[in-house]
Amino acid sequence: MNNRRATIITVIVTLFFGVFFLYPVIDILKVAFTGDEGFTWDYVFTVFANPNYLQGLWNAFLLGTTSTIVTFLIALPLALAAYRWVFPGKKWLSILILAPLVLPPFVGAVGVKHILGVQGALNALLIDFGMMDAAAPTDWLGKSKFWGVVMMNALHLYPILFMNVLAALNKLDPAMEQAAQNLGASPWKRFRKITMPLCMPGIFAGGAIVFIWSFTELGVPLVFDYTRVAPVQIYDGIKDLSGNPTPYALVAVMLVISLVVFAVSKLLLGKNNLGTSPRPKARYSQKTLTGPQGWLVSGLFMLVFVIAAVPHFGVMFLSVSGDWYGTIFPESMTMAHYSEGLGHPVVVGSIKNSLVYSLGATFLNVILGLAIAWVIVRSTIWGRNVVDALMMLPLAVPGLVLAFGYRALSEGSFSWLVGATGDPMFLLILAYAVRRLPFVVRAAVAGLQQSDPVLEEAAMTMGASPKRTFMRVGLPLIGSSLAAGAILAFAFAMLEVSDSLILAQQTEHYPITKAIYALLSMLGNGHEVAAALGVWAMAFLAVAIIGAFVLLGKKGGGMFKL
Amino acid sequence: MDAIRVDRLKKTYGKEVVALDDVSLRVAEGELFFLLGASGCGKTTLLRSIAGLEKPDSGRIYFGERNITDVPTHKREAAMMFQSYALWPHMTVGENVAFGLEERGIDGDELVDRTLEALKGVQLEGYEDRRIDQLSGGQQQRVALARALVVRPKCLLLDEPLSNLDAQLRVEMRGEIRRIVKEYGLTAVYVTHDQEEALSVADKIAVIHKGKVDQVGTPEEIYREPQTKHVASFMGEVNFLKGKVDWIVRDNDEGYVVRAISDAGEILQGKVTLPGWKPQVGDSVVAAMRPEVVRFDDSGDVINQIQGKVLQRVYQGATIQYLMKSVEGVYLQVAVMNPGKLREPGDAVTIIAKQQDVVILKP
Repeated sequence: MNNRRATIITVIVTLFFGVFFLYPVIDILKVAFTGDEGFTWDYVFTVFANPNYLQGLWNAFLLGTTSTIVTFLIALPLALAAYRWVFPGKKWLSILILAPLVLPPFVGAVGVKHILGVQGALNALLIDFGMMDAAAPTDWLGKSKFWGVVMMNALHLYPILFMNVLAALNKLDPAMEQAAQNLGASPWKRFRKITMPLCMPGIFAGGAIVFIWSFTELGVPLVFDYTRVAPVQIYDGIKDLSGNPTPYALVAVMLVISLVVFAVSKLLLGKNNLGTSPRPKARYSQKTLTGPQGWLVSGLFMLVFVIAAVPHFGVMFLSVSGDWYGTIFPESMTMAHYSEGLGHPVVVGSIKNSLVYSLGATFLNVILGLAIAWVIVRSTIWGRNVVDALMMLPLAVPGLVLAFGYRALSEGSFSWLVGATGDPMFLLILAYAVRRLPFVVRAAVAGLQQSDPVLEEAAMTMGASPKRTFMRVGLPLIGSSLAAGAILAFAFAMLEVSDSLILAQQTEHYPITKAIYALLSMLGNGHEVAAALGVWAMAFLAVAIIGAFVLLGKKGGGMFKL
Repeated sequence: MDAIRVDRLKKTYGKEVVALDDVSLRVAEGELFFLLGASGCGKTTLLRSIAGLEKPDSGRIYFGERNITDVPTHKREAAMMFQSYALWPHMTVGENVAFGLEERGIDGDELVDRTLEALKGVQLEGYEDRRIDQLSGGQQQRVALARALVVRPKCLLLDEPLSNLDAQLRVEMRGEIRRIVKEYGLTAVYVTHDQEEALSVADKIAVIHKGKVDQVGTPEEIYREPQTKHVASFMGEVNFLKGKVDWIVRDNDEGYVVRAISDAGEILQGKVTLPGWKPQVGDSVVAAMRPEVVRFDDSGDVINQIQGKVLQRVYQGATIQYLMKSVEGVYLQVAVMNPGKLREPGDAVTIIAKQQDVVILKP
């Protein structure tokens, strides 16, 4: 009986997934590889033959790898420190360093421009101290936009890796390390021979997401005017899609690279659960650092937070600055941008739109995620592991690719989803939902796995029907996990960039991120109003994400696991 | 009348694992019935089938006259107490206990009164507002019992309810469970792998082995007159001696008694317990005798007399356990209550057992 219900759910979810995820992706591949006489490599060759595209792809690849390495350098020491030691203010610092997640990096990029630009705060500071010639200031970003993008990516994405690695470490059976210690291994050798190898799946899973996301990052290069990079070239190519299969081919190439990275991380190190115990019996005894040592580690966390928060502070200052040009701090403070923003039709509309789109997507996700998690954890039907893996696939497919697919289909098979007025509401809800489904599925699966089925059986032997059992025992027990998954899904939908930029065409349908982008190109105080909107979004998302982590506690990191 | 009747139940997992192989059982009204067996023998599967948490491949289960094989769990009125207790962590002690009553549409004063009464019954008065994680293992166990009892179930199912408690508490609680079950006049099915627990608490025991019922009987019957070698050794320490039947001593209404001779010429004589099995002269059999029924005695009685040497002496307080080796080379356990004289390793000894304490089994 259970299995029949499970099969029905699986069919429905798979159908949804097939139509709104696989189909757009396959459609891209079809156009990219179909010529007049069937299958062809021609368009892909065209991409590789075009020095512009080749350069763009190479730059994107370099951005991806460099960002991933830098992210590792930030996240790994933090995760190890948080795993091994107790230090002053650990609880708050561990939450604080997740803060960068709350700001779309491209908004941060606006702030950074005002700090590191020719007339930015840094130069002003250096000139003040007489360390730079006021007549010939350095253009920090102009020289190396590449590093600017890398920095924004790394500072935005390191929390994901941090959580992944920490989750992998926490899942490790402490007896593994203790056994090595017992046999006389030095701390360094223990780390190299035991801890690292056992955590590899977690490290690689996080690394793969970071690579894929920075490889396909669209917003930051756009703001930094770093145009010779594939995502931006795709974005520009959308303007003339009809009859031109080359952008499709470019998207296809990016998709294949992403999928290969995903597959490698999954196949090579995927199902390795050696040395982990679902509930470690012996808790890892963390060493309490006191005195200078403790403050040193706290200081490291604080430093990372401060550096990561530079873009945020930039945005905040910008949003209240009357005039910020060639000075360390804005010359004058004003709230005018906020009041102007609130009166601005684009801003008001975009907040409403984003709320509608994101709430719709979250609602869809909770229902689908809960249903499919139940199938994965509680049913015994054949192929539920395949379903599990399938649900994680949206993490591997860049948002850019999916958005491109939806855009292409919005004039074809999906035209029924777009109203006569070109309202992309349903398109955006679906696009948001599909890409955030993995978070909700993971959260619900984690919740279900942690709640012993015996608890539900007990309710049934007490006379509760299956429905009542679910309402009174099942749901309350996984409620916090599910709520956290939903909040994260909602937060990420609110700050979604690629779908929003590509699918929302008309001003009245803009979500927040597209509105910010549109405001940036507005003359006058466009940047400041955009920053004000960004601050609103930041405050809002900070509350949401802190809420999610309070609900989830230590389990938070599991959400970003592939 | 039978309160529970299990009729030819079968259950396999996958293709290989046979959990229940044609199991039939009858549990009488008001009986405390034990399912006893090693882990993996199928006893828990049987209990879960009675609860409706497993669906048997074939066979039927009756509560009284009613065939409940296809009745869903929540309509069976069979309250279960789980090994892990399965107390809901998001509810207080009181809410846990009241759950079953609420599901039965009971509210208001009756709900409160019965909940408090049930908690009082397990000596947890005043604990109703505690959180589950504020309780000790023994207290949790009692909450689980109260939760199952409060709904006054047709039958109470207990899945290794004491296995998570420490030894002393276990002894205390098993008496408690028996007292409560008898006080409420419940029919209870109790799963355990602990033979001592079964012997001391049960009205009746079914010994389960490899998915089959080996023997059903009172604790005395199961312990004193085991019908198979497996039951004999599972219920406690036992000495087995091989021999060949040379004389049918008795064959009448009172039972079947045979004499067998071992290779060393020892005369083994005892009762045949397996119904319908009548070993003939020349058949190989095994004589089973428990360590406490043999005694050191060289008075010259030759029936069930075995000679050998003491190898080891283990002092256990009330008893002394000797390990000896017979002339034939068989290792034997001998338990002696509070003896006046100690034997030393190396001593040559003669032991003897009464015919009524010896059981003849299939080899």
